Amino acid sequence: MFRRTARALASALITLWAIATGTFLLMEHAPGGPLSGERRLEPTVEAANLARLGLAELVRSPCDGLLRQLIAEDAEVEAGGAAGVVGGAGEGCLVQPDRGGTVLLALAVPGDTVRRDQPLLAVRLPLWTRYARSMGALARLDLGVTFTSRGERTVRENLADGLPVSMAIGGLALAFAVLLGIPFGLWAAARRGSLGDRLLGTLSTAAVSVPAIVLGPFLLYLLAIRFRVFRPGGLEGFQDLILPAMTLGLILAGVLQRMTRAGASSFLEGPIAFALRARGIPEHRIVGVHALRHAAIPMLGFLPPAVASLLTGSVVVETVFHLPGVARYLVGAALNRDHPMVMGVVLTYSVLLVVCTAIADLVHPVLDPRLRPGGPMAQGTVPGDPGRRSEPPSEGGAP
Amino acid sequence: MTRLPPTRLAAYAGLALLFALAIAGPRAGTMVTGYGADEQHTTFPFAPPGFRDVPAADPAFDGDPAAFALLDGDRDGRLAWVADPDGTPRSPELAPAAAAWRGLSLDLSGAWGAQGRDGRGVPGALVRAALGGNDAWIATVLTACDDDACPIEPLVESSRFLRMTPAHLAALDANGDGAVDAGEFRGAPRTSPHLLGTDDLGRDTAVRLLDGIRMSLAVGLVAALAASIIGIAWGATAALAGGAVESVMMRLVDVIYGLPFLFIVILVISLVGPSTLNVLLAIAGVQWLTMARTVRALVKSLRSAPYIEAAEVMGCGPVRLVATHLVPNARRPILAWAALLVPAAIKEEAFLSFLGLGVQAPRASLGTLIADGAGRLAESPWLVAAPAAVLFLLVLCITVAADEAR
Repeated sequence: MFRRTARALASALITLWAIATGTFLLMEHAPGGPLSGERRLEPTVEAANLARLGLAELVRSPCDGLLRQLIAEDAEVEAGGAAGVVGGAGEGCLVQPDRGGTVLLALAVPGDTVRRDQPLLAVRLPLWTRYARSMGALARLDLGVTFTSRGERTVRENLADGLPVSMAIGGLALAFAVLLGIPFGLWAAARRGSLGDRLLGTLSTAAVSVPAIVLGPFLLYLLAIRFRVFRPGGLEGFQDLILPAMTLGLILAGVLQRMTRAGASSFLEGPIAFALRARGIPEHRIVGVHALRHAAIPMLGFLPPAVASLLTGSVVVETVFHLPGVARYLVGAALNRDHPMVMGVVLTYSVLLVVCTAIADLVHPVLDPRLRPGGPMAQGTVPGDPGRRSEPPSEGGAP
Repeated sequence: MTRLPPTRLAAYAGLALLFALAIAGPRAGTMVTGYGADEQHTTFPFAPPGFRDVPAADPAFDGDPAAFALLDGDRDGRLAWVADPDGTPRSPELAPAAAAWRGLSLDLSGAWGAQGRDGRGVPGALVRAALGGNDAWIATVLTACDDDACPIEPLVESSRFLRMTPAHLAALDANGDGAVDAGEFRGAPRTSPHLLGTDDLGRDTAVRLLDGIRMSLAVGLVAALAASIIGIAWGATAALAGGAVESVMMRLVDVIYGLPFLFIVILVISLVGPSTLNVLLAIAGVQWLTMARTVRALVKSLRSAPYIEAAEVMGCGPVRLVATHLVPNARRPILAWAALLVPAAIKEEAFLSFLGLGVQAPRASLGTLIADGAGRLAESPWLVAAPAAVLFLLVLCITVAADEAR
C-alpha cells in the first residue's frame, strides 16, 4: 500500500511538473502578450506586471552610466526589442541583475532625474532564471496577472470567482450521473435482454451521443422557455444550477449506465456469480453488492476522463446558461490572447485531473482484491492494465 | 450490441442522407431555395421557417394576369423596358412600384423588429400611406387583413407585384420588342420560402446549414483520419518494438491522456489563433491517443496468437509477418475504432467552434450555427433547432453504425 501510494504521488508530481514546464515553454513562445497589446500601459504598470509574471526584473541602478547610455541610445525601447545587453562587460556599477539580460522596457527617458531607488529598466531575465522564477511562483500558487484586465486582476482572483460555480455544477452533475446511471445499469444487467434493458440501451446510446451544445439548449428551451420550470439563465440560487447539472449529468449517466451494465452482466454470467448462487445468496445481493463491485473497477479508470468531460462540458453549459463560472474567463481570455488566464485554468484543471487519477489509483486495490498485498497482481504490473479505460473517446472524453 | 438490426439499418440510412446533404452542399441548397449562402436580406432578420421573403433570383411567375393592370400605370397595354449600354435592363414604368415597395419595406422592417414576428404586424393606415393613395394597389395589398394590424407575411406576399424588376420584364419579353404586353405577362414574381428561417443578417438558414454540415463532416473525417494514422503508427511501433521503447512510448501516452486535453487545445488555439486548420490539427492531436492504445493492445494480442507463433517458427520474416498476418487480421477492428473517432472529432470541432475558437465567419459549422442562435433561444428557436438536430443525428448515426460494426 505504501509503495502504491508513493508511486501514485510520484507519478502525479511528475505529470504536474511536465504540465507546468510545458505551459511555461508555450508562454515563452506565445505571439502577443503583455507587451504587444494595442493599447500600451503606463510603463511603470507594465514593468510591474512583467515582474509579477516572472518575465522581467526591475533594475534599480542610479549610478550606472551604462544604463543611462542604453536609454539614451534607444529612447523608444520597443516591445520585446533587444535594446542592448545589461551587465557583463559593463563598468561594474550595476547592482542587479548581474546575470545579464535584454532590456524590455525603459522606465525613464533621457533627461529624467531619477531617485536613487527608482527602477530604470525592465530587463528580460535569462531563460533559466525565468523558468526558476515561474516555477517558484507556481509553487506559491501565484498564477500571475491577467492581460485583459490590464494587470488589475490576478488569475487567482478570477479563478476564486469562477471555480466555486463550476465545481458546484460539476459535483452536482457527477452525483446526478452516479445516482441515475449505476442503478439503471445494474437493473439492466439483472434483466438482460428484456424490453426495459433494450429501451435503456437505446436511451443511453442517445445520451452518449448527444453533445452538450445540443442537450443544453434543448433542455433550456424545453424546461425554462416552453415550460417555465426553471429560470432561463443567470445564477441567483441553487435551483439555477439544476438544469446545467442535468445537462452534463444525463450525458455522463449514459456512459455510466453502459459501463455498469457491461461490467455487471459479464459478472452475472461468470463463474463467481454461479458459485454465489449455489451457496444460496439471494439474487438482489449478488446484483447489488458483488456485481456492483465488479462493475465499479473499470469505472475507476473512467473517473479521470469523466472529470475531464465534466470540465469541458461545464464550459458549454456555463456559456449556454449564462453562469458566472470559469468559462466566462476562459473563453474571453482564449479569444483575447490572455495567456496567463488560459494557463491558470489549464493548470488548475490539470491538478484536478491528476489528483483524480491518483485517487483512482489508490482506490483500485480496495475494490480489486487481486491488487492487494499478497494478491496475484500486487506489484501493479497488471497485464493490459484493466483499470485503464480502453473505451473510445466518444464515451465521455468529448463534451 | 447486435440486438436490433433495424438500428443499424436506420443508422446507415441516416448517414447516407447526411453524407448526401454534405456532398450536395450550399450550392445545391441555393438551387432548391433560391437563396445564396452569403446572400443577406436585412429587411427581415430572424424570419421564422417558411417565411416567404424575396422574389426568386431565377424568374418564376405566379401566372396571375391581375398584376398587369396594377403595374401598367399609363394604361397603354404594355410595360416598356430598355437595355442600358452595359446591358442592364431599366424601366421607368416600374419606378412608382419600386418606390412604393421601398417605403413599404421600411415600414415593414420597422414593424418586424417590434411586433411583426408575433403576428400582429403593421397598421393598415401605414400601408395606405406607403402606397401613396393608389386605390388599386391598396385593395390588392390589403386583401389579407383588416385595418388594425396586418400580419407581415401576407403583406409581403400580396405586395409581390411591386417587386417586379426590369430584369423580370427582360426575361418575360419573348418577342424582344422592348415591352411586355398582356399576352407575354406571366404574373407577379414568385417568392421562395426560407425553409428553416433566416438568421441575424437575413441569410437563409437552410443554405447555411448545408454549409455547416459539409464543414463539420469534413473536419471530423480528416481529423479522425490524421489521428488514426498517428495512432496506428505510434501504437504498432510500440507493440512491435517492445521492451523499454514500448514502455516509454506508452507511458508518454498515459501522461498526456491524464491531462484536460480540450483545455490544452484551447490554450494552443489561443496562442496560434483560431482557424479551421488549427482546429483540425488540434483535434487530431487529441484523438490519436486512444487509437495508439487500442492498436498497441491489438497488436500485442495478435503477436501472441498461435498462428503468428507458428508463422515465426516456420521462418516467416518480420516484413512478411506484418504484411500477410498482422495487417489483414488487425484491419477490421482498427477500422471500427477509427470510425468511432469521427463522431468524437465532430463533437470536439462543434465544441470549439461553439466557443468561437474554431471555424471562423463567414464559413459556418454546426457549432458556430448553434452558437449564433443560442442567444435568441426564446425568440427564434429554429436557429438552434436545425443545426442541433443535425449534429445530434450525425454523431448518433456514426456512433451506432461504428458500434454495430465493432
